Parts: sequence; C-alpha cells; structure tokens
Amino acid sequence: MIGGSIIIQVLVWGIILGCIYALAASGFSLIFGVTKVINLAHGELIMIGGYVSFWLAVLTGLNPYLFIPLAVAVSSVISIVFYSLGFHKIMGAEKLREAFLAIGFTYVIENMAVLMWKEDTRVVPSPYRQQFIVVGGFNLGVDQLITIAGTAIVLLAFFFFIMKTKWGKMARAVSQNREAAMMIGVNVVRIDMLTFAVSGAMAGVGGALLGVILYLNPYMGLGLTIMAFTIVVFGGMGSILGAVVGAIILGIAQQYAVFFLGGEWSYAVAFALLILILVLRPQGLFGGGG
Amino acid sequence: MNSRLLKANVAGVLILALILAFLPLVVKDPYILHIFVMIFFYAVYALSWNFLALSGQLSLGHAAFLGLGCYTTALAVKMGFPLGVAVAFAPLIAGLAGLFLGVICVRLREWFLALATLAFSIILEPIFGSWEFAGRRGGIPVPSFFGPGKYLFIQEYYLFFAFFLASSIVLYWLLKGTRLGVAFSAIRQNEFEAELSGINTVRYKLICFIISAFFAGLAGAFYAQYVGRITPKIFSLDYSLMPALIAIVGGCYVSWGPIIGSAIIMVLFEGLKMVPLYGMSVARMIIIGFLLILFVIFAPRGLAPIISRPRFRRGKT
Repeated sequence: MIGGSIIIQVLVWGIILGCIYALAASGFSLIFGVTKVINLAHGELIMIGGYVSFWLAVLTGLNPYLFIPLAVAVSSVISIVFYSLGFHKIMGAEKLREAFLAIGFTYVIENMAVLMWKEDTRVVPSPYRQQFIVVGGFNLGVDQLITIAGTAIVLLAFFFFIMKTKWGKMARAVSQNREAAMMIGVNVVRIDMLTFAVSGAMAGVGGALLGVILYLNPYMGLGLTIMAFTIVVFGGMGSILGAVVGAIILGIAQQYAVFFLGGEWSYAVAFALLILILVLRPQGLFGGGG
Repeated sequence: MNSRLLKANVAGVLILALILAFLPLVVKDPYILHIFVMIFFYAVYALSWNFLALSGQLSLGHAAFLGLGCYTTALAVKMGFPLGVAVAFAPLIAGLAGLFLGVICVRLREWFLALATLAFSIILEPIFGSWEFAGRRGGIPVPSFFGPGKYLFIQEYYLFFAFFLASSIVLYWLLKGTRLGVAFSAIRQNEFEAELSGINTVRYKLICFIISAFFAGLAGAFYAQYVGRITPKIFSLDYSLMPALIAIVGGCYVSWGPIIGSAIIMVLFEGLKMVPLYGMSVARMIIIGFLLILFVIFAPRGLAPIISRPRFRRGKT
C-alpha cells in the first residue's frame, strides 16, 4: 500500500510541472491567438532561458534567480528573430511550411545548445536546495514555492497586460480581426513582434524556473513544445484560462503516470487525455463554439 | 492530367526505371545500393503520406502505421503464421488502425488532426515498449522471407524495393484518376463545397485514411524485412516527420514529389556524414536546420514543380 503522503507529494510535483507548462502554453496560445502561427520552436526558448540562467549562475556563483531578467531578455530576442526572419516571411502560407520552418529553427537552436553546453543533463545550482517549509505536515521545498509564486506573478502580469494595457487591447483587436485592426490604424507587424516578444519572455521565465526544480537538456525543447500544443488544444484554442487549467491537469496526470507506470508513459498519458477530449469535446475544455 | 502530360510522365518513369534497373550491374558498392534502397523505401512511405494529403488531411503520426506494419509481420511470424500470411496481415492491421484513427479524427482539421495523429503514434511507443511478447524495449527480430538464415543480397533488395516503388507509383496514378481521386482533391480544395456538390466527405476522408495507412503498413512489412529487427523507436517523432519533410522538399500532391524529395533528403543526410566537421552530427543538424529554413522561405512549393516547370508550359495544361 502506498502512503497518502507520497500521493500528495506526487500531486505537488504535478502542480509544479503544471506551472512550467502553464508558462509555456499561455505564450504558445498567445502567439496562436494573435498571429495564427503554430510556433513549433516555442520550447527552444524555454530551453535557452534555462541554459542562460544556468550558465550565468555557474560562472558567477550568484543566486540563479537574479538572472531571470537576462534569461527573459535572451529568450524574447530569439523569439523576435524567429518572427522577423522566419514566420513573418511566410505569413498565411500552408501550415506544413510553418511547421517545417519551426523545425528548422529547432534543429539550429538545439544543436547550437549542444555545441555550447554539451549533451549532458544539467541542474541550475540553487542556494535553497535543501531548505524546506512545513505546510500542514508536508515538506515543501523553497524552490518549489518560488516556482509556484513566480508563475502566479507572471501569469497575473500577463493577464493585466492583455486586458488592461493599450498594447494588450491592440493585440486582442488583431486576434479578433486582422484586416479590421489594420484598417483602424494598428501596426499589425509591430503587434505580432510584440506578441512573440511577450511569449518569449514568459518562456524565458519558465526555463529559468525549470532549470532549478527539474533539469535542463538541449533536446528538451521539442517535447515541451508538443506539450504546450497539447495543453492549448486540451484547454481550448485561444483560451488563456483553458491553457492554465489544462497545464495543471496534464502536469498532474503526467507525474502520476510516471510514478505508477514508469517514465516512458508520461507523454502517452497526456496524449491519451488529449484524444479523449478531442472525441468528447473537440473545442477543448474551455473553448467556445465548434 | 491531360493525355500528353501523362505520356510524358510515363515515358519519364520508364526511362528512369530502365536506368535504375540496370544500375546494380554497374554499381557494386553495397553502401551506395543501401542508400538507394532507403531512397526507394522512404519514397513509398512518403507516397502513402502524400495520398492522405491529397484529401487535405495532414498527418504527423504516420510512423504509427509504418510501425504497426513492422510489428504485425514480426509478431505474426512469432505466433506461428506462415510468412506470406504475416506480410499480408501488416497492411490489414495498419488499415484497421487507419480506420480507427480516421473515425476519431474525422471532425478534426489541419493542426488538430496533425496533433491527434502525432499523439496516436507516441502512445504506441510505450505500449510496444512494455509488451513482453514484443520484446519490450529491445524490440523483436524479423525472420527472413526465405527461411532461417537465408538473406537476400543487397542487389536483390534493391530490385525488390525498386519494383515496390514503381508499382506504388502506378497505383497512385490509377487511384488518383478515379472518382476517389477527384473526390479527394475536391475535399482538399474546399470541403464545404465538396459536401454541397454531393460528395460524402466523411466517407471519402475515411477511405483515404484507410488506403494511406494500408500502404504505410505494407511499406513497414518490407522495411522490417530489410532491417531485420524492430524496436519501439519506430514510433518516434523522427519516423513521423520524415514523410512530411520529404513532401515539403519534393512537393505535395505530385507523384514525383516524394521520389525527388526522398532522393534529396537521403543524399543530403548521407553526404553530410562524409563532411569532416567538428562535433559531426551536431554540425550536420545545424546545416540541415538552416537549409530547411531557407528552403521553406524560398522554395514554397517544393522542388518537383520547379524541376518539371518547362514541361507544364509546353503542355498547355
């Protein structure tokens, strides 16, 4: 018999993984909503963000959380490059071309990361590694709490940006009707670029947190992209709330699958849930319309 | 396709087939023949993918059908079926899987469909990887067609796969010319209008899925025979992306596309292996990545239309 405390421990791990997924998926969903691009290179930005904070933390020996702004900057610059040198040139083309453009970017970034940081799995050194806070009888790592709090802050800032600021309003206008937005004087290209930058920034935060609580590997990007995509479809295309809820659900499901069935089942379980939702509710959990 | 273009195509294929048929007499190097076998195999596999694309359905999980074909042959032999039957099982099981997936996905379009197919193939990997009878992660050996220990020479494999490719292309043309093919392209161009003009789109999309899966399964049965051992890696993303990559390099919806694409991709992958670079495979993948980016931006419709453009001009299509 497996103890209840372990079950809850796995649940906490699932929520942590869900936080990283939420950061990945909401950026992915934002890009899709505004530009209608499926950015299959999105996961690479997370990987790069993680390595930037790993690299700087190891080089300087300082607290890795100090380097989150730099990880954010690097990831969003690379995201803008993806847009302006790539997706911008083939806007509105066949979806398959978009996919392979992104896969081209993936190959380049992934293998450059191997050249720079080798293929080894890395963990960002955190000063809080062995520190725990007891909450209701359970040990919660300080790093885990920082991840949950950091994700919540970033997501709230993101909601505020989309709902309250002028730029967010313009982005929503473009996502509703591109031509009409253009006609009333919105600089669509600049909004697209901003969208890519914001989603890259969120990926950067995700990567920096991921490197501390899990591990980094140059080849992790594509898996993260596929999970982000799965989550967005699962939660409902275009719904940010759906992306966050879907991320937590799939994160928990994956951690339980790993615990009970073994590591190789983690993707299979997430995809089984995806197929289930596609059959029962093709528009996703929170998706409106058909 | 008008008759003149058809004649030009048939003549082109015949000439190419003749050259390729006599190639093993000149080229003896088994490595080069192996590359040709891979080109032929991937061309057939990409052709089956292309067939699904004819009806506007995008698959990123074709490895599921390929892998099911491979595993079905190997498992059927292990269960004691004769080899001919085992090979016949492969496309049937793959076709059934195609029907199953097609029914699930019939309402999904574009990206949703691609993701669902991808999900299907990735789910299969741990299932076969933890199945005791299928050898778990170590995979399962595939016995030879011709009794234990009797293997074909590479030249024979070469001719076999060449013949397989040629008959697949002919079949592809024949199917494309029938009512089925017309219905598929109508659905691809505008599903709603196709429905309005009396085409049962659901039924035709399912048929397309089944045929495509059938051929991928058959290709899998022969591929299993050639490589001799099947592991769950056959369901991985690499095998699923390959036919799509070939189609995008060669060109979609044209029978020449998969052949040209497959030849280019295989020669490129093998050719870059010979370039002495630091960090070998890493540098190779960076080059391939850059080529892919340039290719997608500057050759939007693949190479087949570019190569065959002069003929289109003369042929007053």
